[in-house]
Amino acid sequence: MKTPKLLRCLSILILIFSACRVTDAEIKITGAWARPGFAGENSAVYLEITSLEADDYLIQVETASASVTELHRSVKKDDGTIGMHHQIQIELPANQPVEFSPGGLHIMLMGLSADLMSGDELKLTLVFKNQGEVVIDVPVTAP
Amino acid sequence: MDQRKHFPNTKTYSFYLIANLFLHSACTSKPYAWRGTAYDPPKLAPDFSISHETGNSFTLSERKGTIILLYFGYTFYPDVCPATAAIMSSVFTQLEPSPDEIQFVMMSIDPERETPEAVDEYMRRFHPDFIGLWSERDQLEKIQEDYDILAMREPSENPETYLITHTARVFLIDQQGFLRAHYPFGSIPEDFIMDLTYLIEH
Repeated sequence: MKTPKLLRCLSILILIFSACRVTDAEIKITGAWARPGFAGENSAVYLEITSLEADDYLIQVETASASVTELHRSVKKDDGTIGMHHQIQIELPANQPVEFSPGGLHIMLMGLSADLMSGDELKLTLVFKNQGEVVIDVPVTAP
Repeated sequence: MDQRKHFPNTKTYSFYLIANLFLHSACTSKPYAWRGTAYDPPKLAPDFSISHETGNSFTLSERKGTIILLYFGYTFYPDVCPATAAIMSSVFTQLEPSPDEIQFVMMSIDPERETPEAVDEYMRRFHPDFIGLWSERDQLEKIQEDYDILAMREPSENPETYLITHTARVFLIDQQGFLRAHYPFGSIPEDFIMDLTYLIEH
């Protein structure tokens, strides 16, 4: 049986479109944990973020559990000292996991609004330049 | 007999045993390779004596017989100092030393914002036997100088929330009061466990 020309064109077009499927960029977050601390004290959150498919930037973090939330990086200098640097944004190259870990990148929580004890959870909103907000629950664990 | 599973061939197993014996004797004849940065020769640890009405009193030279792990830090910043205390906590959990055998001591480098009780309470969160020390600024500066500790207060808009860039190093002082090694931030519990075990056994 002879396929009508129109149908053939249409199936080719469908094939082309499905091949160049538009990929949904996505943020993958794993291994999040927060240090315990008492109300009024400070804490830090550690995690691993991967921006899948496209570059992005972590530009802000918000939580009701602390009065100030900042992106920080601890940096070891040649003289053996460690200093902390406030970061305006964290670059997330596509498909490259960026690790926040003790002595490196971390989310600093200043002035905890309540005690954070092992077993508690804390709600954190991560704001990305391109992909908007991602809300996560972070378990508090004694390191 | 579990081991034999990995060495089904008797010949291979014998070879492994002989090689192991050889390696063992080769290693024991060499000086111990410290995991930390060793003091060669060991250096007498500068003495200091802290005494006040509240908080801990502590005189280093009176602690002979005990291995002292000494760190200089502050409680405000939630990253490097608690990470160090957590690593030491893991060391203590694994070695289970008595307070006469090993002590971990943190000297506050932030006496203006901290109190003797607060430093000590903070340390005990990580392990009930950890000790937090506090001294007046002028005495602290002398101790920092003796141990080559740099501590610089960073400029801050809010005078309450300044950060301190500081030397993050753990000192290992042996039972005779000699500095034997120091450890940079990033050392793992295993590094301390190996060196402490060596010190206890020798």
